[in-house]
Amino acid sequence: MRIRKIILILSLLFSIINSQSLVDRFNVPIYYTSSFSVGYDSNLFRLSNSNLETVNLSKIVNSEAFDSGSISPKIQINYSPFISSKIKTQLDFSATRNHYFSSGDKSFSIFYSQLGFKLAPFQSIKIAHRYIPKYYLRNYVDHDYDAFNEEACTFSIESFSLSYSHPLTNRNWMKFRMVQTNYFYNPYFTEFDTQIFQLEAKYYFRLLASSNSIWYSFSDGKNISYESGYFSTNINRSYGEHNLGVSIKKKIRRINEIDNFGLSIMFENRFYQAKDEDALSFDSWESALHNGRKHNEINFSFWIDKKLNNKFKNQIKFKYRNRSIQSDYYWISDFKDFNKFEIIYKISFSSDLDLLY
Amino acid sequence: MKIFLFAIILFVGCQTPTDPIGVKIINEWHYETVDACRGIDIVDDVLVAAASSNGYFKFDITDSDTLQLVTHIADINPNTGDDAAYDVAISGSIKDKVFVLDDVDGIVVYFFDGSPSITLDACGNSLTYRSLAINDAIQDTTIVFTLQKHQVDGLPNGFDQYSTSVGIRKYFETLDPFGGDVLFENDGCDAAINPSIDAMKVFFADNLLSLTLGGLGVQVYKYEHNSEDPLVPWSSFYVQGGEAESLYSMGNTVIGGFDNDRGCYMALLDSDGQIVSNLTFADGYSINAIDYNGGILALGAGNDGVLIYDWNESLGLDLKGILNVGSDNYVYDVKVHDDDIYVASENGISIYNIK
Repeated sequence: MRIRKIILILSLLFSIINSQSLVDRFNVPIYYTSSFSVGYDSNLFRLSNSNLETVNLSKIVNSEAFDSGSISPKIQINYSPFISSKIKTQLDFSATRNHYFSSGDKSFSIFYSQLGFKLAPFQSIKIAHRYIPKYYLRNYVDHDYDAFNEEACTFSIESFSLSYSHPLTNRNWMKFRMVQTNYFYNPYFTEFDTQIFQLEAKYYFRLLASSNSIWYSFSDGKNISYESGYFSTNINRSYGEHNLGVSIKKKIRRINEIDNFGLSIMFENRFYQAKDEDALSFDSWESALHNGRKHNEINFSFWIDKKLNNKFKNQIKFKYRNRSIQSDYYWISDFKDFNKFEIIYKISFSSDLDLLY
Repeated sequence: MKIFLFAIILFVGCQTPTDPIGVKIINEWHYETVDACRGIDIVDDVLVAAASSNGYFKFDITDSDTLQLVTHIADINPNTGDDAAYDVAISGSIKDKVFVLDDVDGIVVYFFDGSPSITLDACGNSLTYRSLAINDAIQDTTIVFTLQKHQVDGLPNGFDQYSTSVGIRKYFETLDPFGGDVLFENDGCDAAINPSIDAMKVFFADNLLSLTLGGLGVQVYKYEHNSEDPLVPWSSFYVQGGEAESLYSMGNTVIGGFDNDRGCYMALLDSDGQIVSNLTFADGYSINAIDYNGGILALGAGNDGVLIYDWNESLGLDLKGILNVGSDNYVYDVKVHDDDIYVASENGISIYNIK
């Protein structure tokens, strides 16, 4: 009761101070963008060449094929209530469903929400939440449960992030972001439960009439189930990870069929913290799998887009990803190296809703 | 406004880790027996172990997470050079004692009160023992079932050459008429049945004696005390492609463990020994030891470790997980005692306190 009174008094004060009524400030248009993508993924399960040559496909993945076509409907909503004349508030929400034709299990949904406060041009604070309820990796043997039979390895991904953007000279700006991400696996594979804390610095700049960014991040992945009493948790799967990336976006004025083109390249270097040679003495290949392992990954993407009219826009994108492993145990790369490419065509439609306005 | 509320709910998402599937080890403890530990038995706070050529061990397990060594007899038969303990069984009837089986040199009985040990007489002329089981259910009597191999000579009357027999010995205490000492006497070995040479293990509980018969599976006999034919054929079962390797029974439920990755067969018998329902489980594993206590069924699976099931003492069974005892550590025997799993293996004795 007391809290209600306080809220009421504060609301009244706020209404008096601001000439517009509080309710009116929330009656603003809701903008939405819906998009639909079709694509092709050459290596849906990120399998190594050794795995791709395997005869018993259904044993390692719940799928009819290693590659797949896909469709991805997405809805994005932007809502900016006029709470303060000095600070622009924006609430974004999006939901995406990625559906793969060759594997229903691999299909997944992404929910994203973000609350942003724009303090000044190029200066803002954003809080975001990203959630994938269930992501299917592939099938593995759970060594705590059964020595032979594979179980589906799935996990949820949930991340919270806080970012701050700060203006620099010549319309350049910096963004600092910290992200906490939880990878929580299904009951068979909780030995992989990991909490990742990431710090990122991203520099946005204009050069040669293009919008560019360059970024670096470091992630500390803590294997939170390490040594929790189950045999499989005897291996420390914690890791550190460096990420370095660059992206370029340029307007194309000379070709009518293209409005923009962009490309991005990202290098990832992950190093597992387990370096105990003795780990091999108590068990198995799985100890070796993480023992001092490093991997280097390159992500490359290239895209072009074209606005069809005021509401429709289309885009075609090519993505390539390659991972190579460094380990004292030569055979590990046979299981963990992979490469893949994706081609995605997306058409999006933007409009607004007058539900509140 | 609804969207706004929905977004707030999403912000507060916060997933938590799921509870893992598997066997959680709260604590573990290991005892190196130098030579492989082939068999263990536990009664109350006493654990005994057969450690192959390193003889017999007796431990105090009052503090259930550790083994306090009480007795170690490395040379169980000083008259032979190749003596080795392959199995042990505790009997609490009359007075506490342990039967230690040496597969070629007989069965030695050690008394916990320090009385002089005795060696069982041969059944026929065979001292080549394969297995033993105890019946402590008859008051003031210890009944010992022994499975021994026979070849050509000295067979019990009418028994086949190259076969086995299950001998029954009844032990009781008498007063020495000359010295007044209490004597541990038996009425001799009664070779009751004559199974084939394939018989390897016997198990006794609740008046049912079970016997492994290799590819023929498991033969179950009903024990009728003081009867002229005390072992009455009662039931049998087999699993195609596997040889019976281990046994467990409780009430009218008999479980056979099979090799060649054929897992286990559980038979629920009626009052006439007919199998009224059955269950196969642990397919893919070779099961060489079985034990149960307080809802936990443990299966020794050789190099694959120990499988742990939640068992409701009927046909309801849930795999809890695998107790991994390390590579190159073959499991020979397993016992469940309170929340602890005791494992006899190539490396010795291990205790796993599980949730």
